[in-house]
Amino acid sequence: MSSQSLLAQLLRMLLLLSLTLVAVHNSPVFLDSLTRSAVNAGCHQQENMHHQMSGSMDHSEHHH
Amino acid sequence: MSIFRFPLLVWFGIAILIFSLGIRQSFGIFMMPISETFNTGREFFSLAIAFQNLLFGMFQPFVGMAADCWGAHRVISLGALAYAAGLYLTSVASQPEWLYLSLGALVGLGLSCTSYVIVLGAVAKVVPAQHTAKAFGLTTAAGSFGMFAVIPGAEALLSNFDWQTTLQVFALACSVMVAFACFMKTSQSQGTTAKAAENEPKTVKQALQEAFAHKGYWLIHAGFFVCGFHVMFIATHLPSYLADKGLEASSAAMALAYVGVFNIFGSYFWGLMGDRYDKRYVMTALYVARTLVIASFITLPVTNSTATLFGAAIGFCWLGTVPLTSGLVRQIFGARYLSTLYGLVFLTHQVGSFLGAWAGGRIYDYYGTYEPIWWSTVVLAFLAALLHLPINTKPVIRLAPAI
Repeated sequence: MSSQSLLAQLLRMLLLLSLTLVAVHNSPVFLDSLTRSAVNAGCHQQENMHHQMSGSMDHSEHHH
Repeated sequence: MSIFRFPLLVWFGIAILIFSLGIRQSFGIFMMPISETFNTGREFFSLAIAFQNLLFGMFQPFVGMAADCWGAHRVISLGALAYAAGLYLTSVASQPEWLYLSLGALVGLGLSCTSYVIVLGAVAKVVPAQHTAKAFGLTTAAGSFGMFAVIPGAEALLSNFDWQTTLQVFALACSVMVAFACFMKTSQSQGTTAKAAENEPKTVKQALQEAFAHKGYWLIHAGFFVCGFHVMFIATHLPSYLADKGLEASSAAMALAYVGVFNIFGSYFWGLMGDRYDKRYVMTALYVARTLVIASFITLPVTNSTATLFGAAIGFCWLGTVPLTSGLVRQIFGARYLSTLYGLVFLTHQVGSFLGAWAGGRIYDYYGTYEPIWWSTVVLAFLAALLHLPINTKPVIRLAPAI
């Protein structure tokens, strides 16, 4: 059983957070999902954002 | 207590949240196809969703009372059926007005019955009192994380099928929640001692009278109102604010993505802190953090880096209020009527959300800048930090000998 001390729990959380950030920065699909989720959580301007994001992503894809 | 030793009910509760909130999170991508099918313009769909959110909040206290009286498993089953019916009726609607009933009322009711208030109420009854905030934090965090899995699935379905079929698949998925709900039966034995159960209010009315007479309950309401105001204002207006400052849409996207990631870890962190330290001081610390984060953001120059940093910092304080607020209500009033009492607090949160989204736009239109509303959020955050200090967090007298 892993340690339940506060320090051990926080360190495990920090490790998981770091891994998630690495995954986010290396996965455009994941990043897009996170963004949509955050926007959909309460954004009534989501369609504008969607268009802007699609626009910016289309734009970046043209460069590749 | 390790999270892996939590009762199975906690994990089924998380699974229900993933389905319920995950489907809700994906509604945004249906806006264009549904608007095009009915040729109604986007405002119509937006109004149906706004109506859904309004009913989601308004149903919550009543649904919470029903869960406390007849059991969370029954309410979740009923809600899952309403959710499925709402999605199916939306998919077969021949007139756009049907959406007010299906996507608005039925899905709103389904969301009330299958989201945080009911699930946390059930979790509180099976987790030992000293581990409640951690269990609430885990449920909130895992629920938030699970939402992300549904959106790519919805997009994949939409790219292969029409929106009607996609909604019907979601309606079928709701039946899975009915199966999970069978495992949500609670007993008082694990969370509350028999002696405490004897002293608990016998009816919802008694529980409400007890809570309404407690000054701390109203302070908790006020704090959660501020949370709703913050969250909805920032989620709604941050992209526009960043655009006003000349940042590209991709910066807003990154900032919001960071809100999502850090929210997951923040929710668990604040829950953990709530079990370790006095919850009112942890709550004060959270609101002081929000005060400093927002004040720094609007004082410092807005760049891509500061926008991302802001997303990370505010995300960390985003839904950390959920385990702390529900944990405070549970600590003071016990687990028996948590869904009722927290349901009312959640309604106040939704009122704050409504005002946050609306006032942000109203004040911007009046002054032509977001500065006054940003500074209002700073003042509100600081007031919320102070509001939690005088809360008497001791369990009400009837529970004192048993805890």
